[in-house]
Amino acid sequence: MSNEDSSVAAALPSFKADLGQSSVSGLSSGAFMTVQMHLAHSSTFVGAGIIAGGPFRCAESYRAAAAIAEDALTINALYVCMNPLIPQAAPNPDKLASVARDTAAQGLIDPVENLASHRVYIFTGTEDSVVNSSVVDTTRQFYEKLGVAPGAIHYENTLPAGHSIITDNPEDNPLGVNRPPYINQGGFMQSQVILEHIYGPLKPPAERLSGRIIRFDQTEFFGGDPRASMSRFAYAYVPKAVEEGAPCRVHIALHGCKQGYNYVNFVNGQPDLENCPPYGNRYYTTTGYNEMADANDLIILYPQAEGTDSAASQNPEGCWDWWGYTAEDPQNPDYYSKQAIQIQAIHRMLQRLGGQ
Amino acid sequence: MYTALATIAEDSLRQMHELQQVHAGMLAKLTGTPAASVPATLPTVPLGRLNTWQELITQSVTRQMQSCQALMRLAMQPQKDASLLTESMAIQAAVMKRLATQQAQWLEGLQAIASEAASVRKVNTLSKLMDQESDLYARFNALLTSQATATMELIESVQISVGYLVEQKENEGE
Repeated sequence: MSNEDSSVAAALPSFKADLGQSSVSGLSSGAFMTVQMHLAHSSTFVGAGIIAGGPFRCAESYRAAAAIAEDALTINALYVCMNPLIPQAAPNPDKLASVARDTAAQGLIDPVENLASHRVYIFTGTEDSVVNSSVVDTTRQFYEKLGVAPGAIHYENTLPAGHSIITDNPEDNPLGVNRPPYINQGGFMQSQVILEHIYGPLKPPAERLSGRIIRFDQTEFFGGDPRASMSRFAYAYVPKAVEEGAPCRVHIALHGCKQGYNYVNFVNGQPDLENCPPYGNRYYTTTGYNEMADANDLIILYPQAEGTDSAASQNPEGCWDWWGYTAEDPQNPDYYSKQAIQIQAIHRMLQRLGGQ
Repeated sequence: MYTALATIAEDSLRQMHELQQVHAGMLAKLTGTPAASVPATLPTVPLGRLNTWQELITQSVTRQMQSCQALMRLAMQPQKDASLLTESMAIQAAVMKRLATQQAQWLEGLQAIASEAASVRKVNTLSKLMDQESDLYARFNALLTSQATATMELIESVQISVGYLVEQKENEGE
């Protein structure tokens, strides 16, 4: 953070975005956050893309895991929501669908009835050793139980992919591996499949980008509160036509753990500042979203989470919060609701893009 | 018991700190130089870490006991759900699979270190030789740590899976 010059980052501008046509997608912690964001603001979205993510509030599946609420949330995240020993120990979609309905009834998220008309893409690789396929399967069941038509769900679980977003870039990792930067080559751009599933047939991706990536200061959206575990800067791809005033739609793309622009690996418990990984900008530049956006007047918003490991938040890998690390009161965590600090911040960015 | 010992240890450290301050003051008077400051917080830090270990181990043992109690309750009602037996066997199989993976990673890691140690690399200075030896030691240490961490993860995973499954079975009847 100390090397960043705030003078080079302008505020996020507004465009003629139809916010009622927005959508969201993400990988891993970004996928868990996608589910939360999607449910919290389902009146704004028309669909979601989930790559290796689990269902809503699954980190609260087994409260008796530990006496201390914060510990129980973390343990649930690790052993129920990411890597259960057997499929029967994965999250319970019936129970979580009921939890989602109750949460909506309390007004903490939008009515779940909105989801009936939405289109959802869900993916798990058969070689994924980070978020087990049995968990992702419960995400599919969860959405079906909340009224998303099975025909509106594109569920892909047969590809031998590791934990990753898939691209056709030759320099990315081999398809089956599970290692940073979690961008693997599989001969197609998964981001483009997601966008086509959500919005229907789109124009082919642009071969050459006409627009530009805007770097903006995102601290205004969470008040600079360190509890948010969000970086100072975030990014948005804006096609030239949109910048010149064409109407547009917005898609939010959420990176996974260790994929934020300023992620620094921790070695022996300390940030390895001397060897900062060189892949911090790859999620928002090389995953194929921007080419599709350019041809179809879409803005792609890339909020950024930051790695922190302190008393304020235990998030050394820079993940989005889906197990309550940002909660002020772990007994009653709010990480999934419209009031959650990260969800609120991202929603404010969306509103700004729509001029609200 | 542990808390009492920790309190005694903290009291001793506090008294030692006071003695060090008195000692520094006496030296200052004798030599006519300003008293050196005595760091106050450092010695209690390891105790804090020890306390965290104690808390988490207690938590783990409690979890184990709760699961055992719940399992016994379920065993008293065999008509309730026979699928638990199948799931227990599936957990055992999953544990064996993970242990086999861990064993393979251990052997692979050892092999990699051994082959690096065996390969003679050009070294012109003592400092570089020391560096290479340290690298080998650090890699072996990292391998040991990752094995220990994986074992602890597996223990926690079994505890959580069993406890969570049993809780679900118990709730099904309500």
